[in-house]
Amino acid sequence: MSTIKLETSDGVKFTVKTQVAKCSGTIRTMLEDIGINPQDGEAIPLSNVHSTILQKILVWAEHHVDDPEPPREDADAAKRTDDICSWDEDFLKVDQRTLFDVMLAANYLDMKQLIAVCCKTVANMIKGKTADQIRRTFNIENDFPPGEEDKIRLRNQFCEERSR
Amino acid sequence: MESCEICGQSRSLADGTIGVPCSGPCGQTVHAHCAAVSGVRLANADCADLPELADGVWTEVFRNLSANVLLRMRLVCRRWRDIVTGSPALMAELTVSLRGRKVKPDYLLPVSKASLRSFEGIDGGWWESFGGGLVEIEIKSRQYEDTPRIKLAGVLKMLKHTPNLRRLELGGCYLIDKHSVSADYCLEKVEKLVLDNIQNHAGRLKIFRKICPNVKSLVMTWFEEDAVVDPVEVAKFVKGYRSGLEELEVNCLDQCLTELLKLDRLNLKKLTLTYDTPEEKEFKDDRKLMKLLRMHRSLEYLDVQGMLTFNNRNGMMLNELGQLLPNLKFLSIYASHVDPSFLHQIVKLQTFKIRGREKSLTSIRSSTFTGESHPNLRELHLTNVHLNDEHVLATLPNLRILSLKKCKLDSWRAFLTALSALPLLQNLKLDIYKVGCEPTRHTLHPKALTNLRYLKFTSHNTTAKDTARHMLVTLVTMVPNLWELHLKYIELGPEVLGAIFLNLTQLKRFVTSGCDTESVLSCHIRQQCCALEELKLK
Repeated sequence: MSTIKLETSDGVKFTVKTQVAKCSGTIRTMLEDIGINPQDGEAIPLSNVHSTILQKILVWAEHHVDDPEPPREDADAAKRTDDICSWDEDFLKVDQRTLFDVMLAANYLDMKQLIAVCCKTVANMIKGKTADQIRRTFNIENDFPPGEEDKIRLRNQFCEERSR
Repeated sequence: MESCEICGQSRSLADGTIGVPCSGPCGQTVHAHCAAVSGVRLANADCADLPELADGVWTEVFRNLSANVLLRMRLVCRRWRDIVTGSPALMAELTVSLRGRKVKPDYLLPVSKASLRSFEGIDGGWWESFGGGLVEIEIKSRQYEDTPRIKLAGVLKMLKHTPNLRRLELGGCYLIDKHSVSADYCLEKVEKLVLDNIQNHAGRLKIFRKICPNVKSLVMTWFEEDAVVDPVEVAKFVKGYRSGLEELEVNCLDQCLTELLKLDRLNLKKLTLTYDTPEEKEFKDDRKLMKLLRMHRSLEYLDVQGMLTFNNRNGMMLNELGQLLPNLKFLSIYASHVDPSFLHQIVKLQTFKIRGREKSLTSIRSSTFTGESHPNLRELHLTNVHLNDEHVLATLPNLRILSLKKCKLDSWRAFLTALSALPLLQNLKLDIYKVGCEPTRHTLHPKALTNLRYLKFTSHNTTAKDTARHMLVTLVTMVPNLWELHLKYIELGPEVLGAIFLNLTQLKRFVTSGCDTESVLSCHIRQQCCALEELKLK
C-alpha cells in the first residue's frame, strides 16, 4: 500500500496511507495537479497544522476513508444538526480550543465532511442560548457602541418569524 | 474519584476528558467539553485565546441555524453581525414581513424575501430600491379575514419594481378591480408561481401568465367549498405554459384530471393532486389517473391525496404505477390497502408515504414476500395504517426516518425486533393506538439504535396506560444516543422518568405535551439529565 510523508508545523513527520491523506482536498491537489512525487521520500510540509491536531485529524480520516460521496444537499432540505453519527460525536468531545484547532486545520486541509460535522457541533452549542450566553461560551466581547443593540433589535423585528 | 460538576460523571485522565477548574464562585472542576457546551467560563482560560476562525467557517456554522437564531447572532458582536449581513446565503434565510401600514423603510434589512399581509398597496421610492433585491414575495390575506380584497392594480404596480423575483405567491385573496388592468413589464426570472385560493379567477389570471412567462413550477389550488374556480379555466392557464412546466399542483378532482388529460404537450417531473378535506374523497375513475401517469413517464415526485380504492379490479394498480414511473423518488398515496411488493419496481424511491382512512385502516401486507431489500428508501411515513407485516421493515436497511401516525400493530415484540434491524434510523415518530398482542416487560432484548437522535412518542386513550408505559420504557432502553425526546399524553411516573434518567445520558431537548406534569419538578429533571439544554413541560 502506498504511503506518503507529511510534516507538521512543529517538525513532526507522519507516514500516512496515500488514500487516507487524500481525504484532504489540499493534499489531493498537491499530489495530482502540482505533481509532488511522494516516491521521492520528501515530506509534504503542512505549515499551518500542529502535530497534535494532525494526529487527531488522521484518526478521523482513517475512520471515514471509505465513506461514500455524500449526496448533493437539496436546497429545500430541512436543516438538521441531529444527524451527527455517534462516532463523530465522541470524536468531537474535546475542549473548545481543540475543536477550533481541528476546524482551522480542516479548513486549511480542505476536508469538507469534517468541517461540516464540526460546524454542526458548534451550531448545537449555539442553539438555545441567548446572545449573552453565546458571548460567554466563545469568549466574545460585546463591542457594540451604546444604543446599537436596540437598533439591531428593531431591524430584527421585521424579520422575526412568528410562530404559526 | 472526582466527578464533573456539570454532568456528574467521573473524570479521569485516561479517557482524555481532562477536567479544568471553573472560574465561578464554586471553583469546582468540570469536564472541558461540558464547560464548552454549557457555557461555563473557565479559570484556566480554555476559551480565553481561542483561535480565530475565518469568516467563511462561521458562515458554515451559521448555515445550520434557523432564521430566528440567525437574527440573534447579529446581537453577539460587530463581527458576527457583519458576517450574517454580509453573506447572501445567510440573508436568503430571512424574510421581511410587512403587515398593515407600519412600515419603517429605514429599518428593513436588505433581504431577498418578503411576506405581505393585508396591505393596501405599497408606494414610495423606498420600494423601488428594496423591491429590486427581492427574490421571493408572498402576498396573503390576514388570517380569519372573511373576504380579503386585494386590488390587482396595486399588486401589479408593486411587482413592476421586482425584476429579480423567482417566486411569486398569492394566497387567499379576492382580486378586485373595476377597470381592466394591464402590465407593461415582464418578470422573466419567476420560476415558481403559487395562486392559492384566488377568487374571481376568470379573466384576471391571464395577466399572471403574461408577466411570468417562464414558470416551471405552478400551484393552483382552492377551497372546493367555495367552488369559485372552474377546472377548465385552470387547464387553460396551464396549457399556456406548454412543455416549459415541470411541476404542477392542482386540486384532486376528476374534472381536473379530465382537463389535464387533454394537455398532451406537458411533460411533468412533479405532480401533486391536493385535497383540502382529507376524508372520504374518492376518484370516480382511477383509470383516468393511470392514463395521466402514462403521459408523464418522467415523474420523479407524485403526491395523490385523493383516495385510491384498491379492489380485485385494480389491485394491480400499484404494480402498474411502479412499471410506469421508473424515476420516482417520492411517492405519497392515500389508499385502502397496500401491497409493498410493488416497491421493487421503483428502485430509486427514497420517500414513501401511505395514508389510510381513519375508520378502516389501510393494511400493509405483501402478497409475495420476496425479502428483496430496497436500499434507496430513506423515509417511510404511515398514517392510519395497520402494519400487519413487520417484515416490510426488514427490507429497508437504509431507513433514516420512520413515522407511524395513528397506526395499529399486531405485535409489539415483532415490531421492536424489526425496528432493531434498522441500524441507520435517526428519527422515529410513534403514535400507535392499538397493539394486537400486549407487550410484556423484561422479555425483550432488542439491539440498540445507536444513530437515533429524535424520538416522538404519543399514547392514546385506546391503549391501556400500562401498555403505553411499557412500550416507552422498552424503547428508551434502545436509544442510548438520543438527543431529543417528545412525549404526548404519557404519564410521567417514576418508571418512565427513571428509564429516561438512566438511559438517555445525552438528552438535549425534552418536550412533553398533554402529559400530567404537575407533580414533576423540572429542576429534578434538569439535575438528572446533565446534557439537557431545553426543557418544556406542558
